[in-house]
Amino acid sequence: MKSRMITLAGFLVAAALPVLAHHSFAMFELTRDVTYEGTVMEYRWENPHTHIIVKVDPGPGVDPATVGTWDVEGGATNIMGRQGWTRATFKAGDRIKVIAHPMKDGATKGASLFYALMPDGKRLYHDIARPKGEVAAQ
Amino acid sequence: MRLKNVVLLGVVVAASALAQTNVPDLSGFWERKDEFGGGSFGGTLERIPRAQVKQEVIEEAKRQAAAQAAGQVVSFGSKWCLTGSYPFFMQHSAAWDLVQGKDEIVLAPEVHTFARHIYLDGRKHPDPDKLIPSPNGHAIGHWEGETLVADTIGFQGGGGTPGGGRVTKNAHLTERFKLVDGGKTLAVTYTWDDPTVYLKPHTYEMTYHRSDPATYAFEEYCHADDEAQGGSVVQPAQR
Amino acid sequence: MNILKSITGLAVGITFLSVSAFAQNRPDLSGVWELRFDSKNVPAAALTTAAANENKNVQFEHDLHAVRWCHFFGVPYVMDVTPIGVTQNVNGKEVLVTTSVRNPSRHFYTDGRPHPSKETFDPVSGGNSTGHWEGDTLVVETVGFSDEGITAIPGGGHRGPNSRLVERFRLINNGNQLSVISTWEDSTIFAKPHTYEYRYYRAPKGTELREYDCNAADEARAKYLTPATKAASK
Repeated sequence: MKSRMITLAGFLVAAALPVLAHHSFAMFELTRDVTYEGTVMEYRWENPHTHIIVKVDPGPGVDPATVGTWDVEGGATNIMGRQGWTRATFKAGDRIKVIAHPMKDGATKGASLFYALMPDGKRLYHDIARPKGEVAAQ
Repeated sequence: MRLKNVVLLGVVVAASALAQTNVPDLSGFWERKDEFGGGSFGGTLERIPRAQVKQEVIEEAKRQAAAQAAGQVVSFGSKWCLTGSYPFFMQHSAAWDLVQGKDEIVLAPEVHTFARHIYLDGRKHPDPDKLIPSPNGHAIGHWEGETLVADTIGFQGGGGTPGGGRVTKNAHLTERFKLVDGGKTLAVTYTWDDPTVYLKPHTYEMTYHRSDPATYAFEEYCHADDEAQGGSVVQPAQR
Repeated sequence: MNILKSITGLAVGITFLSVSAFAQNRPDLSGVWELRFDSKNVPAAALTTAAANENKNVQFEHDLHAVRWCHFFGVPYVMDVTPIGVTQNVNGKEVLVTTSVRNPSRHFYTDGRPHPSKETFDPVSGGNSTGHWEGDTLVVETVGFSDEGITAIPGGGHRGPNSRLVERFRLINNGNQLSVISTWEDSTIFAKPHTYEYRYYRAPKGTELREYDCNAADEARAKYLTPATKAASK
């Protein structure tokens, strides 16, 4: 009974916040866009979040701060699906270029996906977030 | 004289029929767009005016936030796939489908909650002693020109609104749905009235963009028995 | 002047109606429809040998697990959750089926679109449904099922990724009943197409769908459903 009360209390708090995704995103630097260009190690198309594990190797023009293996977290499959993503968009071994918001703590190699830049120049957005000015321009 | 009355009656009947049929077609999938933040998680929602709530509501929110910060609250609704009460799905980054029937309009979300029925057939809300509180409440609507006005009571409570409001069993919601920008967007003005929460009615507007006409409904499945439901790159994991 | 405006409005209204489902002489299937004791006519399905030899406890376990954890029930089970709501879009492009359980609505797209590509469509509990009218009958085809939810099919067998469902919705008995004839095809499950009929009754005027919630964190629920799961596997 006690644990049920705690569960409900937690939901009340969560629901009161303007945070509507699976978890809070306060730990991401949402105003900072970082480019991660590398190789897809895993492409996990699943709920509650899609995950793209990206390995960035050192090299010319590569920001050393981005080198390493990153867990780039996307949204639920329905949310990403409506933006044009599918379970076949990427597979392990593919080259990838994603723009994402890194975690604030800097220690965890995790980032929140903003969009992937496809070879044809098209952007595949994570969800309904857009760069400033783009919505008004539509 | 009699003929004139018959003609007028005919016009009134025709106008009455038109009131139900010659209305804008609001139907289709609608979704938010957000260029001020993180889409699903803030952004535009954080720009919604703060609700003016009673002091005891603020104190209760502080107590709960402090408890959560202290680790006393260890469970999360999303881990358990709990139902998102209205207006949860209207703020979500998943689209919702508006289906416009002859006697009702239905808003069909794809997240884990219920379809919302807005009855347009002139029915009233149930008597208070027969009203069963529910996640979406009981909604009736009518047209005022090109605006759909929905009136909702009977919420089970427990959720929140943008701007820091709370939804309780005493909440009364008035919504005004109107196509703007040549039908490319749908503006919804929400007004929450609840004397147990607000010092004055909490009003805000949200804009929804028409989805690609070829889009279709997805299903946002949620598995509380899946360990991943409580985890992400973000720590600590939910329990 | 007002009369003139009304007449002008009437012309606009007729124009609007001419593109609606109703002006095309489509029946309006909208309403709240309920199952009664005599609603179902379900013969036993002719199963393939492999399907007939499947362990029925596995199916039971699978479906009970979905109930225990508040998963989406999916099709066809939601058609058993009486009453169902049918809302026919006046623009003729979609028919929606809703229920009282926390389950995605069924969307029947009647705008002529094809199903999404199999290569990229993620199978779901309700599949993907398109519909068209054959006279006064709405014919709905659904494909793209997952194994999410309650997968058992009335009469035997279960849905899967290869399943195809065709449903024929038609008003009968002066519009007081809705006949839904369902036919399942799946060569891995059925030896021949499996057809059954549900005849729903129009619910009394004013009947509304309730919202029966499901809480997976409810300890009483877990306690009630888990032992049954274990017992069934013995």
